[in-house]
Amino acid sequence: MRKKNLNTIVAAVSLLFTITFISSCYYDNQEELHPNVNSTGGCDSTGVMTYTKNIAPIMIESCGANNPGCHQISTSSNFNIGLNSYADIIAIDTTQLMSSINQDGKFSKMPKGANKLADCQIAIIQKWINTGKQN
Amino acid sequence: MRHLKFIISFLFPCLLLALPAWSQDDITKIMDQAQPKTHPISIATFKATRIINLQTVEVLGKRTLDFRISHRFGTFHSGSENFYGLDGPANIRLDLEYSYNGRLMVGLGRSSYEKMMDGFLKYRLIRQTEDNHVPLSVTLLANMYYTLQKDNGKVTVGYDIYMHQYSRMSYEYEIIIAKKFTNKFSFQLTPYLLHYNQVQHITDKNDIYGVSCGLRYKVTRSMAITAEYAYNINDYSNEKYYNNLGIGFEIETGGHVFQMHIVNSFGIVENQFLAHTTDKWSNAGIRLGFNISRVFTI
Repeated sequence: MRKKNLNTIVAAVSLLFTITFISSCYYDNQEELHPNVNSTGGCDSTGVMTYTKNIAPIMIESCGANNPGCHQISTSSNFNIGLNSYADIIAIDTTQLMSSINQDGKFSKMPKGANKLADCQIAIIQKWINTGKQN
Repeated sequence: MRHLKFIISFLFPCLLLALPAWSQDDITKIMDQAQPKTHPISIATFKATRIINLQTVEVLGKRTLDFRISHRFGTFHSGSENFYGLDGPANIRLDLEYSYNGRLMVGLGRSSYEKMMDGFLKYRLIRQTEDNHVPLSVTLLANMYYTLQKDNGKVTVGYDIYMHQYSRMSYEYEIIIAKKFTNKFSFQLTPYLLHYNQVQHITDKNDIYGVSCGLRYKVTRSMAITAEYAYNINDYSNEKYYNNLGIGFEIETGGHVFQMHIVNSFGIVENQFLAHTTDKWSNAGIRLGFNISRVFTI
């Protein structure tokens, strides 16, 4: 009797898993779902780039304050690289920063454990560096 | 082609997941008939349910609960300033696995990398016998993953890549074929299929298939050397990813199995280490890692 009950439970769980598997299989890619991924779209890389307006939202969201255990403060274990304030970010080696976010393999690929930044976000950071890292 | 893949993607899990429903009676009977008492079952092909990252052919014994802690440090090439990776960043996975009948096993885990939840079902289909009457062991495995990370880019890009909940999910299926050649040496070969519901680029493939292999060589009664390698067959991305390769040793002490290894992948679960390993051995992109397993009979 006990064995029969167990079989019923196992069968129910298997069925539930099967239904979940079948109902949730998709063949999506971000470029088709979000056509703006590689164009300006919601991310505007034109005009003058400043830290406060353009860089801080990207850095704080993807690297600094909103990412526990990441580049929140310059004394963290992450190679003493802080990416949470203007003072921190102008002090770092920008060649290494660009290499990491472009994920060219020369330095650790960033952001760690998350998707690569959108091309437009990388373009904003590059433009900000090229135009003198304004606050 | 897509339909074919779709069918393959689901035929296997359906088969796998449907099996337990009738296996208690039928398969057990068939196996009992095929393996009378004169053909003793070969035990301990591998000592734990993992080699390094890869699942082994082993399934936990009856009414056994396994609590596992896995840890991967940073890369050696991060240098002395970062204590060759030991300062981090690190990836930690905790999981609980249980088997009621010694054939079907369930597991639930959580990795810190990509905030990945995972669950799996593993079913021991065929067991090797000591006299080679049944020459191989075969185990089926179905994995399911769900990432809990948020899309940090949505503030600047204007949309959330995890807009649909299903975009967070991926799956993996394996047929694990293993043989214990001698009391000291075991080898396993595993064809696998990996599916991501969402990939980044239009040129990326949602389905990745490949084959992995692993071995264990016993050095002393309680110590063994292990190694594993996974090879992805199809060209699934324009990004540069490397195959998972690791070597390690394991020590068994009572209810504990302690595994220490050097491996190039940061991820511990299949949807991370099989297809998204970004570090390579040739430039010391390898890291120290360990797995600790503690079993309880309940």
